[in-house]
Amino acid sequence: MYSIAGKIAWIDLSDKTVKIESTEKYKKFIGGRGVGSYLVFREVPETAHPLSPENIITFNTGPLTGTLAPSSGRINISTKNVATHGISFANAGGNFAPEMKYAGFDHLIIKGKAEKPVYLFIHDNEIEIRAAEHLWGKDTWETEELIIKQLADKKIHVATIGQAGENLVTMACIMFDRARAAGWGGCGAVMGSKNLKAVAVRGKSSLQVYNPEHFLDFTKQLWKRLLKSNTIQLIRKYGNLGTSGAGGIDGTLAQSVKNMEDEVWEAEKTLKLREIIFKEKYEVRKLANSACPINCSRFYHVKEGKFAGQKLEALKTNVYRAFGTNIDLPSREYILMANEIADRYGMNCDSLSAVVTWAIDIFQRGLIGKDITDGLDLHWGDGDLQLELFKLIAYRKGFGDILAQGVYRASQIIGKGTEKYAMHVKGHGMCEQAVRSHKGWALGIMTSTIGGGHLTGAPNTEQRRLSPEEGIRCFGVPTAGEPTVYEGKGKLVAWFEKYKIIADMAGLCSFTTYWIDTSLIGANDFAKLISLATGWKFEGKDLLNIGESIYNIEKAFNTLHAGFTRKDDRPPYKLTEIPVSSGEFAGERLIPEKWEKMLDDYYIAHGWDVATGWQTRECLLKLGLSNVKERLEKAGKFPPQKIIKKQNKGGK
Amino acid sequence: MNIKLRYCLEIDEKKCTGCQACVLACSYHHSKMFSIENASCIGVFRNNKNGDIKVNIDRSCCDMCAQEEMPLCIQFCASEAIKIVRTI
Repeated sequence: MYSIAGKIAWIDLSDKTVKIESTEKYKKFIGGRGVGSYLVFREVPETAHPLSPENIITFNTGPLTGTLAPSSGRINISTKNVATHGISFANAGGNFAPEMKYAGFDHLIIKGKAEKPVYLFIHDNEIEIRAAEHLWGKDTWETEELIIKQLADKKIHVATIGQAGENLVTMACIMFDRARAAGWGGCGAVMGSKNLKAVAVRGKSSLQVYNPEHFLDFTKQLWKRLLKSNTIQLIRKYGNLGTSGAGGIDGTLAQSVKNMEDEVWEAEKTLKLREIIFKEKYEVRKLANSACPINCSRFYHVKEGKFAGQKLEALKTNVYRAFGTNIDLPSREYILMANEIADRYGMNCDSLSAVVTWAIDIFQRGLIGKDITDGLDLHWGDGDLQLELFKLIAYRKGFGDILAQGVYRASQIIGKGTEKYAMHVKGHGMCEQAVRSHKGWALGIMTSTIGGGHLTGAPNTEQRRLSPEEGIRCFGVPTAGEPTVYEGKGKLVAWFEKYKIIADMAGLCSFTTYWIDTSLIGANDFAKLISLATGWKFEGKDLLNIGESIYNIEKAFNTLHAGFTRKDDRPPYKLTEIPVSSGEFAGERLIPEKWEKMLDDYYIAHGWDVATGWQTRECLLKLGLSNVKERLEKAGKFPPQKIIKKQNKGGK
Repeated sequence: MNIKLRYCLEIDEKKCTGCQACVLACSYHHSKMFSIENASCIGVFRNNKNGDIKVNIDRSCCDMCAQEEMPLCIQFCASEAIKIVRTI
């Protein structure tokens, strides 16, 4: 048993029992998201509401977690999605995941519901279920501090929910190490529904890899490869904001503006938020995940202005978009404060922005008035209003109670034509840039099994303008680097969907992969790393097959639990009808006819049915997923079989 | 004279990103295993509230990675926060 702790803990909060199972049993799913998605599929009945005790929530590490493999500090959280009622996985950095493994556990599978608030303390191969009534009502920062104080060990790492998770807010997330979020799918609300306030971990054991010398040599090579990459150098220099160039040198890069109405923001606004200004004005130091050479995170200290004295780890590009461009707010101070408040309440920035900016949007269009908003005057670019709405949502007060249900359900409740301005994918809030102009990027977001997000299958190759030669070499797609071209993108997205799972299973960050730069860690490199670490024998093609299997398991979960079909893989109204206003991509939108053709190509690349968007028996059997096939068969979720008439040969 | 007596490692805490790769590299050197608690001469302590990072090197156990061309902690420090300095 190499490079894994060897144990899975099944924790039932209803009867306060813990059962231990061997991790090796699940090695065909590698770890991380692979094990998480499989167990959610296997364990959660179709009748279970995401916020019911029957739902499970999993904390998963991978076989590379806690080693010197680059950026190996990621934790995966899987559960039934509160927003979509399909599958959810979320991924966070920090140091929690390695610590959990050193504490003796590869995976935690939590089900049931505690009678009163509890938190888990995982240490030295033990699991304690502790009372958390004193923590209920506290924000994530306070909770972390109180737990560390109570357990009197500063090396403890904490995953916790804030008030939003306690109050079952649809966009509630889980915060790790104070500043790292597992944001998607309302996983914080699932914890809240189980009366589980936090999980604290402390581990003192060591991890042994199968072939230490070769593992170390190969790891050194990968570190060097990462540091040589131009993209990585940009991130190292400017932080996570460097990934988008935060508007680019001249402020012309695509943004999400005013509830995704447009993708171009006035240059003078964009330039106020340049990464270089954050660096010069606020940066105290660069910060990194466990064993991460990329250091995309920053610690900021705001020394002047309304929020002088603020200190926090920040700022992700998503947050900058969500709390800046999308609400038309070119204020660094308010964005950083919104970052802090969302972290403290424990809310995901994308889905929070989706619902807040939708509310402003429909108010401005005159579709709702102050009678609905409890007297609030909703307008763009108001930092105080944004913070006020965060509070109302986290505590589900007044108008905030409607917004707390997420943009899709809130729009269904209010109606009056507001539905078409709800920016969501399969019911999950969305805040993305470049989705009108970058067709493959858009496709990957719309087809994502978790209801959007650009970390499932959306290819970054278009932003990077990958050369046709490199597109052919890596994906067999010469158009991989051409943003506005629809052709080839179905195949490209299907490839990324299976490939990206490998990093999520192994426990590495997306920034180490082809997603960001095709000179980085490919499928064969992952196979070599995992094989050297664990002694399990994999080749790159094996991992891609496992990735394809997991994606199919997730897809089947969505078909069974949420009833998704082809129509759920289509973009929302604004993206097809309101074009980009100006700039390089002026006039670009997602043209429905071309979208449908791209979707056909995508389904064909996966071996799925073009008419329904469902999986086929043949595809599942080819992947060895007969159990998945049986579940779909039982539910009648296969496309009608074509009747092939026998033709008489000869005769009459 | 032993190299350990003439040289030692020095860490620039301002440059450190807190990734603990040096800790893991050190534990590997001493035990062929990865750990942040055992067998490492380096300890990295992050204060997430104020952004401080403190790094301790136990010089009594550091052998400057004899047999390696360069101490492993330096090889795995992407921020180049660790350097070798002369003691005498």
